[in-house]
Amino acid sequence: MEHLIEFILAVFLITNLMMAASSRLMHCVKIVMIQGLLLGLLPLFLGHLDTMHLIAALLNISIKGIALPYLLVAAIKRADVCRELEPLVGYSTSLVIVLLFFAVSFWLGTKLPAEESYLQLATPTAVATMLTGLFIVMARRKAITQAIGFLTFENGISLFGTGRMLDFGVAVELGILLDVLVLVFVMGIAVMRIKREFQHIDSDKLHNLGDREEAE
Amino acid sequence: MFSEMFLPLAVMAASGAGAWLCGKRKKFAAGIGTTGLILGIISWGVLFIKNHENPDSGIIVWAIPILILGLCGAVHSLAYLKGHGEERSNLYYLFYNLTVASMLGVLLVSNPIHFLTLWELMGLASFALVAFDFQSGKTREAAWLYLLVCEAGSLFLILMFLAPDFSVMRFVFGLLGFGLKIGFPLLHIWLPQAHPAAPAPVSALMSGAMIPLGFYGLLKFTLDGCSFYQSAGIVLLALGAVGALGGILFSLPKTNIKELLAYSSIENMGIISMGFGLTLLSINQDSTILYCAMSGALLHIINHAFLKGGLFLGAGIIQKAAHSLDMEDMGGLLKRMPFSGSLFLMNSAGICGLPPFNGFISEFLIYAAALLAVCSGKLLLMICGIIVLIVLALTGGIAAAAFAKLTGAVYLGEPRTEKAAEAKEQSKLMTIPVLVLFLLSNGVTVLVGWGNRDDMPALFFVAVLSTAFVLLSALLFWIRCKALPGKNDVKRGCTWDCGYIAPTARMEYTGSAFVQPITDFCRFLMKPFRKIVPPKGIFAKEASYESETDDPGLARFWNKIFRWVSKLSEKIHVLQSGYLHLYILIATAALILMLIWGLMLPWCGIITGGVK
Amino acid sequence: MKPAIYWILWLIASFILCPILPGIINKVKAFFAGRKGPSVFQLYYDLFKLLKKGSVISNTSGGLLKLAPCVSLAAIMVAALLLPLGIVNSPLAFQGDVILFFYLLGTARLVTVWGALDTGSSFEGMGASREMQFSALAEAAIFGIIGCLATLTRRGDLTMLPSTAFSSSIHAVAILLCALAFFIILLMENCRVPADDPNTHLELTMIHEAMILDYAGPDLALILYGASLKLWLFASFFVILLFPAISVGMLLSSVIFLGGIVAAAVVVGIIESSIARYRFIKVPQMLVGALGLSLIALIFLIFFDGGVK
Repeated sequence: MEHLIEFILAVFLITNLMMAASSRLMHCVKIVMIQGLLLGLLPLFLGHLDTMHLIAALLNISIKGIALPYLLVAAIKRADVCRELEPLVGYSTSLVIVLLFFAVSFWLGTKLPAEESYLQLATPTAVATMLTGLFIVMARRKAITQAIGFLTFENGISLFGTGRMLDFGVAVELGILLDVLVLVFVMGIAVMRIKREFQHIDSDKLHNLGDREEAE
Repeated sequence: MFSEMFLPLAVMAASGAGAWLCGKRKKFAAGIGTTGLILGIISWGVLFIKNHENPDSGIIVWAIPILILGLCGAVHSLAYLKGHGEERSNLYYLFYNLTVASMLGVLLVSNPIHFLTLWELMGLASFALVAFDFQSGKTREAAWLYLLVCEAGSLFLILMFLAPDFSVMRFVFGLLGFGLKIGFPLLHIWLPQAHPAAPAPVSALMSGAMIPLGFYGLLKFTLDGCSFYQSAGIVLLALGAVGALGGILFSLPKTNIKELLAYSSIENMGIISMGFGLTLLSINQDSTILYCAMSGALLHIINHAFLKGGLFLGAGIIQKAAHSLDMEDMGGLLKRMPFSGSLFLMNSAGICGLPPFNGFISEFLIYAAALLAVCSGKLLLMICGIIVLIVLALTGGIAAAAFAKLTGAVYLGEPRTEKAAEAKEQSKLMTIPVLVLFLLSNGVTVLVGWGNRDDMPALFFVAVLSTAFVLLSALLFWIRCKALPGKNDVKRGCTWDCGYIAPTARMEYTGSAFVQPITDFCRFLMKPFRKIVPPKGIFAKEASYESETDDPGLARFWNKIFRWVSKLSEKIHVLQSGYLHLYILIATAALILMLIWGLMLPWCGIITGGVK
Repeated sequence: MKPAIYWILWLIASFILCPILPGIINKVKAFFAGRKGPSVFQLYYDLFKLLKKGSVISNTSGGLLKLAPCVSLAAIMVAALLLPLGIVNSPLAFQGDVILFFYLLGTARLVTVWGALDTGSSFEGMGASREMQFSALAEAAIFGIIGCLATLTRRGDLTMLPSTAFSSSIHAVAILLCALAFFIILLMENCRVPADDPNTHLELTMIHEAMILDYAGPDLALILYGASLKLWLFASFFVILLFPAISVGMLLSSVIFLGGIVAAAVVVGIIESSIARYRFIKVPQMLVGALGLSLIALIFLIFFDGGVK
């Protein structure tokens, strides 16, 4: 069982790398979906299964694994988004950076005090996922990819919570679900609005809305 | 223990709100606001007298100016507001009552949170009053500066309350926070802008009653129980000396009446500060010096309130009569408004500290303290005493020049404009408060002199000699007018001007010309900006001379800092790029750095610290 | 004779004798100029004549023009009550009376300035303006001197003047420096050469005389009398400062006092005959110099006298 958990975490890391290297929107959505599913499965292998864990697992799988990817796909189709990702940082550079993130997060993982020895891998993986998510938000131009990055970031937090949740997991899970609702809002409403107003969903061009004058 | 004394304050605030609800019905608004205020003030006074055995009754020194000036200002406003934003008088009374109520409230509380709340309320309510004539850009600018200063002051006060008790940090923050209200040098910049901008009764209230509240706070929260009172005394004395001299020196070139008065307030706060400085220095050294300096400083707060209140209200009368505040537009108003004019003249002499008016008696006490300090034979006290002596003397001399300029340009000579020539005595509602203030202020002299005839004969002598001076003047005037053989042989003629037969107002000495020798003498300090068009040719057509002196604090200190800060923020502005990616990058980088910092330094880390 | 009665006699004598001082000065000047000069009592004749005359009041005046001479004279007369005339302490002396003394003179000055400005004349404005500038500086110098004397005698009232004693060389130096500084103030405050020229008729160069251009008749009489009384007070201050009260009997101290005042007037006359009026730019420097002298005396006292704990 323990090996299975570590296997899941390893897959998580791999999905992060794939996320950084992927150049297609649909591909990214699939990766997020896989992450969501894995996240949902994780509590099932923790050993002591109770009702709360079961509910959390079911919610994770149904929302992150099924509902949100579906919404993303629907949004992509309705907004008629080009499949290309339009990165600000090239794919290979992205890979290198994500690898660097891995290194940093493993270093952090050794520094962070670990209470339960058998989930040692969970903390670095979670940090790596969070950083990757943030990196996707930063380094990809499209609004949709930013939502995906945010979702990845959320997955990281969720993973962190699950990995260390043994005492206080349910509150963390509920908080994350609340965040997910916000994400749904961003996805379902905001992207469509932006698309309608500006004929594009390139967040890079949205900086014109800031208070900084263009003349400068 | 003072809890029932909040009731009148609630009455004031409620009547203010009532006045506000009256909307455009300005008569109702004025009626409700003023009635509530007067009721509140009288009942507060009655309650105070009932509670006078309370150990905190020292607040009377600050309460008297608030009560009296609040009352006189309210009556004055009734006439002042006519034609000066009368349609907004509901707002005026709301904020006026709130200001008075919060000022009185500040005196009643000792809990820091309550104090800060009321202090802030006082600042905000008076900000609204300063901004009352918001149509003028200058007023908006002044009000904005005032608001900034109020908020900065509050910030320092919060820091002061957070700082450990009796620490140097607490003292410094208190000095900055309350100093911004008092107008210590460099912290004074809002005064010369806010006072001319505010309506006259508000300037009177703020200058006479609100500014000295800073000393109240300083004494109550900053210096109470502080162990390094000697150094604190030196600091207060130095600040006071610079403030007194600088304030009066920079009042000289000002041609706006209220601006000049504002600088004179800075001067008087400096004098009070020197008094408190001497008090602190003489703790455990000499109780006579302490008594003299302390009572001088406290008395000067009251005197300054009465005198400056009367002067600002008088400036309001001038403004209504001559439709201007620029003294170069005026002249000869004494002939046209003899009653308010002579009150203004006497108040001016009083604020210069000249006998027989009451301004002398408080300055006298501080002088006496300084003289005693010089005689004490202790080096520090001696040096401080000498400094106070010389600074007070110079200040007094220059103040006399400044007020001779003000009164000379406004009230004496020939009118320089049509409007000034047509000036008339104003409504009784405006002049009576000035008269009341004048009578009260000189009542103080007699009262103080009589009350201390046993334990401080000097004050008694001063009062007696001042009275003798007044009586002797009257006697001489009577002899000169009634008893001399030439009494009926009085001719009227035009002013003798070296044989020139038709002198005009343009040939008169202007206010700026009057003080030009001193401003020129202090050119190295004042750095006036001068524009001279010299006369050309034999039959010169035109020539002109303009000079303008900027506030040294603003021009040479703050503006430089502001410019530097704005340059810096210009650079930091790059960060505000408008790119979401970059914002997240910055946030993430900060997050990671904090995480690393927390983990690298386990002894101050949050995470590990929590585990241990 | 009780000291109080002696002092009152001297007070009355001062009020009566003071117009003689300008006469003495003028006589000395005449002597140096090789003229016979007017009588020493000339000012008395002038005063009586002026008091009998009518007056001319400017149309511009708002009333202060008439009031100013009376108030100004009253202030100077009340100030006289505080001085230890005849080198005996005034019975009215109290802690800090020296402040009241100089502030009363300040009131007199402000009122005179008001009277001058009340006419709206440019010349009088000019005089008033100069008067205010110089007096502000003079005030500082005066209080420097007072501080020095207070350090010397450990007294905070006008009894400090007769208490000055040449008990050590440091004290003597300090007293002489103070006296010199005060003499400069005396010249300036009483409109004497080199600060001001009472004789000139060029309004552009006058200070005090320019301020009283519009006065005539009884008003002028009051002003002239006030000016001579002020000169008397300053001269007494100077003399008492130099000559401490010694128990030599009232007759001898009277002689010293009167002789000192006359001598001071003679010195003023000699100065007026021997040097010209300074340019106005120089006068402030002279006053700052007086302040400097008093501060030097003070430093001497504080650091060399050893009296400081």
